[in-house]
Amino acid sequence: MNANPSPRLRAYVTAGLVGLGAALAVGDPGPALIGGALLALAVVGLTGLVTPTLSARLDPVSLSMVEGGEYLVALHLESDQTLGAMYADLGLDRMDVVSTEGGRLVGAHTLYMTSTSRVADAVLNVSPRGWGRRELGPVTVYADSLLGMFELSHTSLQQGQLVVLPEESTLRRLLNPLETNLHVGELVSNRRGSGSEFADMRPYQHGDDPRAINWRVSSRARSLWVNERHPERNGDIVLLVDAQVESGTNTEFVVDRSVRMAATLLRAHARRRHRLGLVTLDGFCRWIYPGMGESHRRHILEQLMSVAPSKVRWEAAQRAVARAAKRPAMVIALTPLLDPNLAGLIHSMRRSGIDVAVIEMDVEPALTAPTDDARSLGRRIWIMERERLRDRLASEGIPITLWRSGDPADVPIARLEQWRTSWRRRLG
Amino acid sequence: MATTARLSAVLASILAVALVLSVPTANGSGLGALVGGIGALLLVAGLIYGVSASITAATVAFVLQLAIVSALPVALSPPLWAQALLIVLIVEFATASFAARSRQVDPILVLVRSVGTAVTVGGVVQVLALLLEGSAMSGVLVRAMGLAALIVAAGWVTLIWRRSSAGPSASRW
Repeated sequence: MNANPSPRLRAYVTAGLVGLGAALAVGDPGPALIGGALLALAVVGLTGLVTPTLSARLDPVSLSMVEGGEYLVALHLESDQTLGAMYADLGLDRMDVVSTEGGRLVGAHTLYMTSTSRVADAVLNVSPRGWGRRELGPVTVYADSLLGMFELSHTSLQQGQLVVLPEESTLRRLLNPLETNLHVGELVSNRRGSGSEFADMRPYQHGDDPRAINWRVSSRARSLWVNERHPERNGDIVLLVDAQVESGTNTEFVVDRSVRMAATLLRAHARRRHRLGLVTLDGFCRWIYPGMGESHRRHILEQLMSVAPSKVRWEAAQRAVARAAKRPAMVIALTPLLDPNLAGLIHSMRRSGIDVAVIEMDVEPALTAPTDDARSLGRRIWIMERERLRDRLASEGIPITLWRSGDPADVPIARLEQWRTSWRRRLG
Repeated sequence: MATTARLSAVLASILAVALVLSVPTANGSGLGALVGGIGALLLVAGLIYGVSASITAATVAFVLQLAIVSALPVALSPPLWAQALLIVLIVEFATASFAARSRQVDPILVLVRSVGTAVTVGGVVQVLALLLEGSAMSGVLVRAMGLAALIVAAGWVTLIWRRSSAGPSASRW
């Protein structure tokens, strides 16, 4: 531990020496008594100084947390001397300490601990706020030497990283992919095969399962007819998370909403056993092939936690989307549609036959009201351009909906479903 | 500034002002009150602007105030033990105020430790004063003993100080 003299040591030593000197000068024992007592305090404090070697470790029970949940984190302190009383500044970024065991909370993130041995342990019940990757620590331990003459401190390096996942809301309905793949799932496929959903009837052919014969129809037709069924399959869902925002604006909250919606969609689609993929449009353009299972979903969520508002390199973005959506997949784009390049990317996906839907994030709450006529005109033109962009996408058969802030996550999904149904009707 | 830092600073300032106001001003002892007043002023300014050296300055001023008053033919007020107690309390609270600015401290512990140290020092001073009253030492003998004590104390402090600062982890003032 580092030892720094406290202001009281300076004060006691100086005033003590001055007191002794003043007593000699005035020939009265009063100042000498006080000076002597202060010096005695300083001397006792100086003789009692020990600088122990300390190590502090934070051990979370889980390296993956969900915001708003409660998790246990263990704090372990070890020293080569008896520890005594100390304060541990826990360095927990955006985490509320709900309760503690083995120490008393002083302030938001400081634990007061006492130990008569060389080790001290405490267990914290923490609740993370907001999603993202977090660094644990550094843990700084403060203690006072005897009589507080020295301030001892020790800072342990960062204790690793953990991922805080966003709280996922429950979706009652989902936008299903138009095409399914070969894996068993909950989606009724357009193809024919073994399943429970009735599709059609056809004359019996050699090799057909006798259980598929429709005896009622066969007796009427005087030849054998069999029922055809739709198999239950799953689909590939690729989420395209657009994290680019305009610098100097308050639109960064849009990324937060996009990530929350993505996490909600991942959870809902994973429950229906769909294969999930991800493309993030930020500085790195991460992409993950569609896959199944809880570990795969966790992997995607952890990648999602690295999304940060930044500029997009469009060449990399196009390559990432092309790779992630190679197989028949439905791409759901979560975007504020601030960049026409993204609209171009969605167009090109649609042209290459990819089933794509767009959930547009509402940016208007982040915009300041125009202050003069010129700005007002500019705002109107900007709104018109965005509407034109939306119309162009919609005219190509791309379902697009605006997710207004305040609306639950179900609303845009329901609108997209409605849009798709009306588009099908229009096409006949 | 944290609440504990504010409270400690206010307490230290109030005690400093109380110590200065309780000093008699008759027979030229107002000079002592003036020195103490300057110390209190420096302490308050230091607490406001975050200069920890003001604690040393104020403590020295209070000791000088006592020296001036005790050299004059006036009754010592407040008594010696009370002055010791007040000085230690002022130093402890002011130091706690500076500590609480950079990190969390427990206000109850600050209070307990400050009062404990102050009462101990006040008691020791009172016992020593009672012992001195009983003895008849004065004049050259007192001065010679005082000088010797001063030299020994200064040497001791320097020696231990150097030892404590010799380690790689200890920092300089």
